[in-house]
Amino acid sequence: MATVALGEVRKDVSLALVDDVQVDDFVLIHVGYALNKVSAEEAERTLQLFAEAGLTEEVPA
Amino acid sequence: MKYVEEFRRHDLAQKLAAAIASEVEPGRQYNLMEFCGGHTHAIFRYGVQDLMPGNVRFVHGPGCPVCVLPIGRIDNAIQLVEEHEVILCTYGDLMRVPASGRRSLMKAKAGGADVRMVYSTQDALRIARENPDREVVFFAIGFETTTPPTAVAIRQARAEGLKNFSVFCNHVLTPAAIQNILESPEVREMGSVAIDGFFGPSHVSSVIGSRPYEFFAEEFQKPVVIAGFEPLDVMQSALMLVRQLNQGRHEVENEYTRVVSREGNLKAQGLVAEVMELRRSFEWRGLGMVPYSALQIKAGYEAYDAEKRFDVPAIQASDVKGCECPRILRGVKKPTDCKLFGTVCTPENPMGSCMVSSEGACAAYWSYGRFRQPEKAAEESAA
Repeated sequence: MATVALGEVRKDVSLALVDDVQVDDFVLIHVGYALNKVSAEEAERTLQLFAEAGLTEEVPA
Repeated sequence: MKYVEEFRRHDLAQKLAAAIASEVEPGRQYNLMEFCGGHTHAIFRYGVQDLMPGNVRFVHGPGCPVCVLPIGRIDNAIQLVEEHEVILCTYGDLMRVPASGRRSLMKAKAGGADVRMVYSTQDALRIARENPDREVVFFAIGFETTTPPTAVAIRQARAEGLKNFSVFCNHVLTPAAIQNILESPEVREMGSVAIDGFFGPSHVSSVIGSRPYEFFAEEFQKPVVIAGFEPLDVMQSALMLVRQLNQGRHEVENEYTRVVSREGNLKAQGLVAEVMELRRSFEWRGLGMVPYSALQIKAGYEAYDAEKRFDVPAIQASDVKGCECPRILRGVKKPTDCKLFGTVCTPENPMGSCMVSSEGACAAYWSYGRFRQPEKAAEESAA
């Protein structure tokens, strides 16, 4: 078990479904279980993709 | 909250909307099915449909676990708690789902049955530990996201030697349902449902990975983009689907890379495979009997199978007359096409399952879209 913070709310969730989770990691939680780690690098990359929307492909003026 | 707010930014939403508007081909319709109820909810809550050009349409799929559970299985649960006098533990959104004879678990509880709402399978285990002289049954429902927590609980019960804990297993599988929709006459015969591409579910895919969708993309030649649950995720994924369709591609792409990999969560998959196996067939509301679309508890774990421990008969039950849930779940009808919608059927007094769950299409329309819909519908029919 581990304590997660959802904004101001703290909740104990099970880590039975994930490996190698450290304090300060972000995890996806569902029905009281951490399902996966959230990748900081990939999140950054996706936000970058949003910011570039419309620039990556040919866009008529 | 980190990784949430950034994915709801207004300025980026406008930018993505502009990109989509400029890239759609004017003469073409883009019918994009979001399989998962979480996406239906995001689309309505954040007004994503209104940010799309008129020819991009979201078709709502059956990915709401409460909605697809047939009424007979809820009747079974009520029998377990009333006739077998078990403590029935359930996720909260099942409480108000209408069962036969206008009953529900909530009404059973009001009548004195011991129904307990739990947040996690860990809560159900705790209740079993605290009540060693009572039978405790966990009413397990859901897609691949809630299945691993059920598997963990069964293994834990065995490890702890908990003799009074069992699971009424109703876990269902996403790929089987997608295949069923793609093979349905409504879609195949180009009749009432047009689907050009799919948004792949977020949390389900975090468990099963992106690989299971490769078959659909190839076999049915429909693009799939696995999308996160935040509004910008849905919009970016819509853009990726539009681009694939414009370019004549039908591939599996992953927008939700911060959580989803091609393989998924192998540990979770392994735990499920150890405890559960495929059912030959399972009934879905809206889809009927779907082969190999659900899981049952394996032979080695039958002591934890409520269907083995108690008499759980197959019950055929029909929906409330006039309820369009089955067609809404197949994407054939919209909630506003249903005569009961917003009249006798509301979240406070639901007639059908799609109005009960926050993931249901009717609940999403009612909560966020009921004032917008007529206007939009007029616009659509004019187009």
